[in-house]
Amino acid sequence: MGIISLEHSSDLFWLGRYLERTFTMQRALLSVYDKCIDNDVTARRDFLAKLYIEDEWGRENANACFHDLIFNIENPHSVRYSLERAYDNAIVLRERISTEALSQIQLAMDAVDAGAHSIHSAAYSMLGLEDRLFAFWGCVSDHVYDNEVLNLIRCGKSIERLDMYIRLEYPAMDMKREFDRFCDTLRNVPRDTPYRYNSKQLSVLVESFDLGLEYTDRKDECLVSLSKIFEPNV
Amino acid sequence: MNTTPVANAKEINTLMSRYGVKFGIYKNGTFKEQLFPFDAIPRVITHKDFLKIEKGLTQRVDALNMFLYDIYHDKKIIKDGVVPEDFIYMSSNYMPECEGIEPSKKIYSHISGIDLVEGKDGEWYILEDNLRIPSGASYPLIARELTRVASPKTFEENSIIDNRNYAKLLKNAMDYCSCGGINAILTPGRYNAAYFEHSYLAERTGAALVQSHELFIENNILYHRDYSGSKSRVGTLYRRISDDFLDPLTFNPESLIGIPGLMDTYRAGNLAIINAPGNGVADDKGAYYFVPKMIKYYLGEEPIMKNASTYLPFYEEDRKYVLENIRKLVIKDVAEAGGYGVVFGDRLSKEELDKLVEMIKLEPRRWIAQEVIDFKDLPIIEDGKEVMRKADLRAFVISGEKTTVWASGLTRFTRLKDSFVVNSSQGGGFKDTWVLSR
Repeated sequence: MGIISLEHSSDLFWLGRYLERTFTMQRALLSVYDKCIDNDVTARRDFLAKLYIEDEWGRENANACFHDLIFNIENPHSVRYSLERAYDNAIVLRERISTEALSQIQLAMDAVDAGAHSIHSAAYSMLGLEDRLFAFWGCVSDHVYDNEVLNLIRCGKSIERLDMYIRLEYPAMDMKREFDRFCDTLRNVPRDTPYRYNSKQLSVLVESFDLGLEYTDRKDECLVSLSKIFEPNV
Repeated sequence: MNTTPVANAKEINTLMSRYGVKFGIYKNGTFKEQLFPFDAIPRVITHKDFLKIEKGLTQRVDALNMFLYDIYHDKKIIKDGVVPEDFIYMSSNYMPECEGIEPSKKIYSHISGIDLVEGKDGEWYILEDNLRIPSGASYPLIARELTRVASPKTFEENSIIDNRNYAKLLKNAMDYCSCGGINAILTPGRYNAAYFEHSYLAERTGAALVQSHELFIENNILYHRDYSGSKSRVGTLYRRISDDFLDPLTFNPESLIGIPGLMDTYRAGNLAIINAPGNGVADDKGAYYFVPKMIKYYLGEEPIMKNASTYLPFYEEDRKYVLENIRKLVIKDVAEAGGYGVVFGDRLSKEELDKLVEMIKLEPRRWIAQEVIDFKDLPIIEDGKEVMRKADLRAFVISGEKTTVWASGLTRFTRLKDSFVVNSSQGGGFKDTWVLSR
């Protein structure tokens, strides 16, 4: 397998994280938007609170809120911002992930930018984004033969998904499923790299997701353990 | 001459954007990536012209490699009075640190970027030799790939030599010169203007794309350390960092992007560096003047390709001619690159001219002067209309087990109507370069 520098390993990991943040954020936002169509007044408020996003738009400007959180590249919470950060990581990984895979991220950015000024709804425009993100994953699966490269991106993806699911209090079954997938990926990470899991932190997550407990009672603890999952075992 | 744009030009540019065929520039202190403008009307080189260019450039690059080896070893060309010694040792690009070093396979310039123009008289002229870190091959390489996707009929209807072998030529040269270990491309990082080229060529050659902090030297061997801490020996380093920043222990001590001790590794014969340090002494605009003499001296042959008529103010007779005829000449500062430091005598005000004359008298070694070549304009599409602009051709010559002239090149054009300066760093675009197979 090829050599991966420490810097590239971090780039791969954060590529996975930012792409997942893009994907899950737009899905979550559109799910909330869908509830707002039916005049659910608390959905948007609760969503913002869970992510610690200040409601600078107010109830009267709910549409502006959704538009901003999807399309505004200057807003660090936005889908577009996350995608830009994904691109920043991907551009230095061309020879790792392939020009084809990198191009899917470029096309994803183009799709979001086009959506900002489109007559179509945001939900409609985001279908183009999802298509490209799925194509990216297909590309890397096909073009990348180095499992270490794939594992690093997948680690980032899983950690971000778990992080966002925890914050947004997704159902325990969804958490368990995603956590199981994460553990499978972790098992394939070489022991002598900075991405060897921390046993203590992993145990906290196992207890929370594996034993059928209501993990939301331990939400903060889970988030902390997730953030420390690659700290050295002492 | 073909003036027909390839079909589906819009699709080709869409693909260029999709695949990030970009070029970085710094404007007002801010880094900006922009697409390298691609024009759909190709430059066409006839088979007959290419055969001559191929022979001429092979001859030229072989002579330049022999010159470089000689300068840093026996200096026969100086001892025999062909090139004045002052001229070599006064060059800011001569590197005494390279004296006596035996580069792998005795090759100094593995990738030579030779800039040519086609005169209105139908003759091809050499404008400049670039032997340090010539860039640009990746753009026509990917452009051809994308054009074939968007406009396959173009290639059914025209007999064009396939140029998609550049990466293979480069890899072969890297493998041939390797001192044992992996091939690596050393990049200063994402914010370098030519970063697209670094990463694309790494992908296509299978070389590792590395930055200096990932490399270290142990027992005079260069290694790459990966994220698990294990090390891989580097056998060939294709560096995209200039000489001065390559090794802070040997060259500029303030360099943060170089590898301390690299020159010791190179000197010990444990690493091939592409292109070798010290090449600047041969691609100095002043050295250009002597290249025809180098060909005669080392190869015993008459030069096949012509230089532009060039005068060296270093020589009294040439200096006299230049000062008397400055208004009809183009004056170049030998130390500058990228189209900078080039002035046309007929465009200067009296004050600017007087200043230039004084500078030539004060530092004659610093300048060369050339007759302005009336080179052919090529058609480009601008705002939907065809207009004529000046264009040059950067040919790429790879020296490995043998010297090969790539059957393609980077044709660069200027956007400005009356400008002769076509360098991409000053806002120009590029075209595909077709070499006809028959």
